[in-house]
Amino acid sequence: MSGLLQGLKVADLSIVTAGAAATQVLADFGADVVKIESGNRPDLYRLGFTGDKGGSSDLAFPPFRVANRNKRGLAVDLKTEEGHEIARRLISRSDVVVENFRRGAIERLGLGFADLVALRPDIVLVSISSQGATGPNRGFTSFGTTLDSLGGIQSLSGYDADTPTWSSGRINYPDQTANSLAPAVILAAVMAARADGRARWVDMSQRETVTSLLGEHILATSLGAPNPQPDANNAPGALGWLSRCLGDDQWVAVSLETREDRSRLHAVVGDADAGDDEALRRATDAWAAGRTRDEAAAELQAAGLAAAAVVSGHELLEDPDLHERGWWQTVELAEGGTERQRGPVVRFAANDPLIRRRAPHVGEHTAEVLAELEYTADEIDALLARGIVSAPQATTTPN
Amino acid sequence: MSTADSTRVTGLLPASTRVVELGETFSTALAGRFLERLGAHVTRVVPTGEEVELDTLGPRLGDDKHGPSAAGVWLRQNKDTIDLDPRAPEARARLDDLLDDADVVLIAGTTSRWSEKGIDLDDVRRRASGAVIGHVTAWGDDGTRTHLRSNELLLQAAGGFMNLIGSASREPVRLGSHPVRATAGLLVLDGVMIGLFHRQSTGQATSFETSEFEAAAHLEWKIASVFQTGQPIDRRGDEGGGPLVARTRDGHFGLFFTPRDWDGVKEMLGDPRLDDPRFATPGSRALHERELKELVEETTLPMSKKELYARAQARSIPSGYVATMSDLLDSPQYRARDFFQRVEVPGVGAGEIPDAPWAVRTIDDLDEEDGA
Repeated sequence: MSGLLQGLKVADLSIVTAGAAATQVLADFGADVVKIESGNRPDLYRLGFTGDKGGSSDLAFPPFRVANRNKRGLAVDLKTEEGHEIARRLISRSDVVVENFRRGAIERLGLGFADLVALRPDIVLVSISSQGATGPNRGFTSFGTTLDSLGGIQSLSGYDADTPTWSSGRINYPDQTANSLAPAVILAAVMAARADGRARWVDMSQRETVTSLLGEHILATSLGAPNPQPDANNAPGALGWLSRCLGDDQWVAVSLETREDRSRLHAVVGDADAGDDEALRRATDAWAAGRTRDEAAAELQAAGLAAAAVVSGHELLEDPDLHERGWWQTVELAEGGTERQRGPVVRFAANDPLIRRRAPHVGEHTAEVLAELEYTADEIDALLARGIVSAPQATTTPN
Repeated sequence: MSTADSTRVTGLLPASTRVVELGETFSTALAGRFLERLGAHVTRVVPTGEEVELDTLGPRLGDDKHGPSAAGVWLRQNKDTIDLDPRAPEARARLDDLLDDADVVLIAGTTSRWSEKGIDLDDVRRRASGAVIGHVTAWGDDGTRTHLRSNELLLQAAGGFMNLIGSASREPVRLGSHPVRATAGLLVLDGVMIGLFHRQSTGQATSFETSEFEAAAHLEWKIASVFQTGQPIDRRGDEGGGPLVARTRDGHFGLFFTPRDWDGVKEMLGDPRLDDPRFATPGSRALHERELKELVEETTLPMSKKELYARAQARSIPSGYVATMSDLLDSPQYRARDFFQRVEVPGVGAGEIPDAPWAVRTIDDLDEEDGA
């Protein structure tokens, strides 16, 4: 395995996207990430959620394939003593364990921080949870999206004060903030542990992560400003709106920050008093209604205005700039063919290939991983036969 | 340097770690903020006379409409700042010294903009040859959008982010604050740590580029993924399973639940009319959402949102109240975890900012807690 994170070994107990898409970043850059699942109760994200389009196969749900690419799959029953011993062996050879179970679950599995330190004195445990490992609400349950509400961003988002709006189940912004921050924190902790030989437990709260990105509003309110309210597509100090264009659900976004912006917009859309924002908006709506989204955005941009077409995520598959940068990654599918998946978190000058393997079936690399943990072929067969570990039918014991 | 007080342990990097922010955007400033919380010494280098974007962002602090930008105060805590004229030899020598000693250099803005200011970014890279260098632009250092203006609304529009947010019967609506640019900052932080890990392992420095536009594409990664299977594309507001946002006497409550939680929701609300067949399944509840909301609000309007939260959590229903900034500042959970840092804003007063959202413990900490 090559890559900037070559030599980093990750025992990955994380699930869904808050955790699994974080370890995806590590795997993308060459870390050896072993995804540990129960054969009977694998990562529930394999089949999607309500509103998602899962399927009967364990790799049928497309977002799962993205969040788990470049990983190896180990299926083991951690509630058996022999399964637990497999986990202990793996962890004793890993730099970091990543988990996002409900609080208390990792301890009940006998894999709490103190247990891990007994296995490896410089181990790192990164726990990503709804509200953290301490505090009166540590055991409270949530979806990632509940944290749109509890983390504060929903109180700032929406058409008006009566319509606080979430980020949507598909985006699930709180999960994305967690999986965007966690790779950095994991790596910092591993570097610290390698430097001084001391174990670290990093307790990361998803709710806090959402709030930690709202510092300007927390500060202003703490100094006596009223609570900010949803204000449609405006921002403090900038007037913003969307104008409907030709076609179904097509929009162009316009933002005005200065008097000069208003004059420029007036010159483009005409028929309004440049000093009257509401009149300018109405004139822009009328002007945009006769144009396609892309035509409207191009004309406004050519006039030096802050404007952009509102696109759907699937349109980015054909975006010229992302193409030019080689951002999209082509990944083989288990059943044949290929798909394109999102690119790297950043683009490094060292141009190692990002995709080394597709996401694993449940337990696809069980035999391979057990062999590396010095189980003999006979022992592996016995563990498979007794259901301590599992693997897809076609997997054979390595020689 | 302004100094924020805090008790939470967030440091993981050696105190000798030196970070130089060359220029400043929301995303690089946020990456620098978290690098500081990880233990690094961060120095901002701002070309003399340049209008810095962070200073133009609202909200502003104090009674004066020209008061300091809250984003600027927040994101610059515990950083040093150096204003310098890159064309002046003495200033340039000072910059060179900073680059010589840097472990991390974050460059904000395009190569051509820096060239106009008298700084060749290739010179910066040569000078900081031992550092991890991250170069961050709004739309990319080259490409079809490089010359375009940028702000949070436009990034949410162009990156596929806001198209899914809002009501099906209305226009898409942005998320408040700066979620795309904040995420770009987090991804930059990832890049820095990947580079530092590689340097620790091999002794070799490396560099990376990214754009806030790419961060938006990173954030909304699922639609493109599902689209390629030929399945219908999600439309705004039609996903089902979304929260029923109900009014309470003091705000709003987000009623998130799974189908298996429905009985618990009915018990929590205590209204037998919810047994009506119109509300029996997810599909029928979606079909009769307006009637359902009216009914639910008959119960929730006299109640406080935190009372509802306690009721939901007592039944393990994953719902939550719509927290305002005041709610967050008063949160017992946040207070118990020492989540806020105290800051002094000159001429305005003492306020608070959120600390980093992680806490670091060692086995000694655990032993102390057990012994306490």
